[in-house]
Amino acid sequence: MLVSPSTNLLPWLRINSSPRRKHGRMERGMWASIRAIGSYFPTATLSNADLAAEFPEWSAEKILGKTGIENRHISGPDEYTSDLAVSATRNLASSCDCNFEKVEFVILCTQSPDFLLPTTACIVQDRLGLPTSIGALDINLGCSGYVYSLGIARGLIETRQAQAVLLITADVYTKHLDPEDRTTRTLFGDAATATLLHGKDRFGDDGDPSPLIGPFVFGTDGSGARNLITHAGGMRTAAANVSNHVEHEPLRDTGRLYMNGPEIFTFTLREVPRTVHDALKKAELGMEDIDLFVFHQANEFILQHLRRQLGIPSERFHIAMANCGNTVSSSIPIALQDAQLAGKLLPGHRVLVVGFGVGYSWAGAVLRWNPD
Amino acid sequence: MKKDSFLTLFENTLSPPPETPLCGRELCSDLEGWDSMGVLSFIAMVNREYGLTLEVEKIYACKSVDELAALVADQLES
Repeated sequence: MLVSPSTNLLPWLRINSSPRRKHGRMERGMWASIRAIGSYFPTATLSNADLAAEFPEWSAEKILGKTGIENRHISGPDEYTSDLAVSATRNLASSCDCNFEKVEFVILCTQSPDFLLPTTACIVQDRLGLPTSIGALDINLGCSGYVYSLGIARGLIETRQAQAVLLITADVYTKHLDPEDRTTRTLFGDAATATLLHGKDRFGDDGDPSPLIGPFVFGTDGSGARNLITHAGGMRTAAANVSNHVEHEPLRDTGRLYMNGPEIFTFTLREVPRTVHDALKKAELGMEDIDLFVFHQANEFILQHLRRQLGIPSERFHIAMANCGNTVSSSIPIALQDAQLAGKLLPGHRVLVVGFGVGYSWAGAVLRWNPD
Repeated sequence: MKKDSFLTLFENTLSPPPETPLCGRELCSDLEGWDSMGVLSFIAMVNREYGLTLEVEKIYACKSVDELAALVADQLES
């Protein structure tokens, strides 16, 4: 059953039904910019003590030591991606003096859509009471998805296809997990974020003519698809009418997430340092020019290894996953928001964000933090 | 590569660490802590200490600690 009818315009979202502005009235020479980030976490949590009770061979201390995670938020049985997306946008709207009138596009990055079809972004447009004159699409990417979505949003704004973009990341990944799989249950948590992006004059008050979002570097290697995969749910398994077990692996359920952690880590060791160096080279910057490094929050053990390998001082490397786990495409905006609240991310700072994971897919981008 | 230093580094990748020092003849499957997290820690240790990124399939093909040591030594020589 589809959710909330379109007649319920949510009063907290400052939207009116006036026609869109004509493109000719928009400012010339603008950069896309992040205006603000909001987030939402489901109420229920799963602690290390809960996991240790289920899997006695891993103590709570071992889980914390190996992952850096203390708690994960778990979506309720009737709580799905569109619910999290709406809640994150609602939190964004209530936490900042944001103008949603110029939103002309919704991007929803998710790998746990409400339905195979229709597009979850369309459901979210309706539930948020956004005008029917806007565009909306889903992006099916995981841990690299926020960086890719920033690239798409930047393109939409700077080519004047949209005055403002609402970029939502939302996943109920825990619904993909096998209850018996201690590795994935230890890592993943559910969350959503909403980022409002708009255009700013290219020659703003800081006198720096470089983009506020970008340059970007992207990477893809589909040969790693088998190492992080949920087989069921697409046409390949549905059309073949296969059993609920992966071929040649009778104990693995096709409907659950499979992760080969060591292979994913090896991929990370290979590609993340290269992505960092390529992004810096493209931006004509050095490591010392970056005020804060924010990587996909995969696992603190992996992040600390990468930090040391790259020679990044800990005070310029932000980790924010202890109370939420690996939240897939939401992890970078959650970390950005956390760094901002902690006073580690200030206006004018240069940030290097790197997303990497399922696909394999990866991307890096330099941001100039200028949220107003 | 010195075997003694490798064994010490390997012992530190296991959680919990072995109660008695390893000699190398131990089977990986018999070691407490040689699970997915243990393998991940081993990959990180080899990357950090020896500058190598091992192929995961080759790690899983090793039956004993001595075979893991030989894998690292071979990679260092190649």
